[in-house]
Amino acid sequence: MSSIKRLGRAVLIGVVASTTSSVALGWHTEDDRVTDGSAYTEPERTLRVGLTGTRWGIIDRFTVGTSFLQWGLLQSPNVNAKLGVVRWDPLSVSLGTGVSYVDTDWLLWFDVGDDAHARVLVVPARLYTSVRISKRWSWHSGLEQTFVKVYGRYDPSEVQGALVTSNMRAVGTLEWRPYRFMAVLLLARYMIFQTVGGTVGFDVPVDDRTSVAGTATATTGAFDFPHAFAVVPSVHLSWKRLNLRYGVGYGNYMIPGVNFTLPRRGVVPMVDVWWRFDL
Amino acid sequence: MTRGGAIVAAGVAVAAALVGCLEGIDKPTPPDMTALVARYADPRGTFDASVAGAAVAQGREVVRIAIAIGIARRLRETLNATFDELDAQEQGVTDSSEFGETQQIAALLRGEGTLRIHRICDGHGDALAPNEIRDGTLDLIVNLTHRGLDPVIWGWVASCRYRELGVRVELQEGTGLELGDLRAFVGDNYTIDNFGADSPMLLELDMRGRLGGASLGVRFDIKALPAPRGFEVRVGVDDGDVVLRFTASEELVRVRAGNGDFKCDDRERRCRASNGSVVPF
Repeated sequence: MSSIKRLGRAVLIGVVASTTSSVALGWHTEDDRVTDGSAYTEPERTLRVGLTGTRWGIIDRFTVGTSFLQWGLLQSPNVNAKLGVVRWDPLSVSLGTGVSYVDTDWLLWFDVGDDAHARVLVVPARLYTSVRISKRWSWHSGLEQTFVKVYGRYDPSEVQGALVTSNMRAVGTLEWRPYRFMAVLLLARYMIFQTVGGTVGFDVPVDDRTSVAGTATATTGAFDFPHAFAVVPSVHLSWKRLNLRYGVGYGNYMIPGVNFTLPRRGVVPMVDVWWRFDL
Repeated sequence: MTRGGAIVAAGVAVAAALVGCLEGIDKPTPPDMTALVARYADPRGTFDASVAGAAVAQGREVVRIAIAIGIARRLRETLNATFDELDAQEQGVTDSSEFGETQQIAALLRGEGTLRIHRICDGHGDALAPNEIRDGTLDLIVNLTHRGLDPVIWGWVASCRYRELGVRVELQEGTGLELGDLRAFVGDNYTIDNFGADSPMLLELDMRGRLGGASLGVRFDIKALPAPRGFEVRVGVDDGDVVLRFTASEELVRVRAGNGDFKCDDRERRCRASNGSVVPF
């Protein structure tokens, strides 16, 4: 059996075991709710281990996390935090931030060539508000701003510089819980702005007698694609430990992590799976 | 605010400070050519028979030297070659863009900035390898804004040697120091894309030189004009300036002065104002 098949079997066994080892009681309670794109934090002393991130509810209302996928795939140190600042039922408000760093010299799985080098710093800032409308219905809304700074060098022409992009988007999620173990969510996001600025330095030969060295900086709104949006309905199934969220929608593509919106639109898939453990 | 809230808020503030703004560009200050530009635009001197002969002779001598040393053409060629190369470099970077819309990326490289062009002069020999010490250098500074090129380009020469029309030329440092040995006013209408052979340039030169074996003072100002190619030269008279226009073959065709606009016939050696008055030279 190939190693890939063995790995696939192991994953399948793990998923089935974690699903069936606990009764599907349903895990959306008044204290334990959808935490993605909402104002809710991980419950105190719980650990969430999943595809898109691992989070630890240190205390009630305060969660720290990291993405091991990002560590493994991009060798990217990353950490994030979320703080519930208001919980006056039915209203909850939270703030979140984080930092991620990518250095192309550290990459193990991707080769950017010997001539190029880039370092990327990503800092998001998030504000979420959640309102529990009724026992079955909730509304989550938020503003997500992401700052990205890229320092880079492209050697053949001795070009080096820094690129800064900042984008803000509004997100809203309507949550409907027909059963305790299932929530149906309708996510909508809309880009408010997306700016890109750059500083470039270079020293390039013009001909055998002439060279030009220079620095230039500019900011452009050319990436501020008007009316960029996405609408993604999804289903969130939860058991005692296993959580599965999947859906498919339509809208502008977006580069995850940096939240950079692309001009093209198409089918937007959503898949996430995670396990939650009490500590 | 809770302790956790303070940590999050501080984290956001520090992170925003880290990435929120671009480093500014420290651009060198160009020399001020405003007064000279105004003197060319609106000459106030009186052009009459008492000054015409000397003014035309002086203007023609300036044009003769400018053509002999080929300064306007060489400056324009150096700038064009540099701008073309930057366009090519930019295209090389942007062609790999996943967006397929190179114009958007290209816009990134346009904005506030400064270029320092360093050229080893052609030298007096033929087909020799570039040698900075033997051939001398020309250094130029071009500032950029979001609108394009800054109006003033300036620079320095260091024993810059080349051949112009087969004659050995050497341009040596002047007295301008930080103001530059040569200053060129190109106006507000140019970018690195559209600057070319059709771009007029007002040159202010402060250099010493040698033409053939003879010493030469290269301290004058002259405006190099595109189609039809020619030059305008400012000449001081008793009560201001007059501006004389010559063709590329040094033929006087026009004089602008405080007392009128004159059309000139170089063979008949006289200029005629729009009111019919004639000034011989």
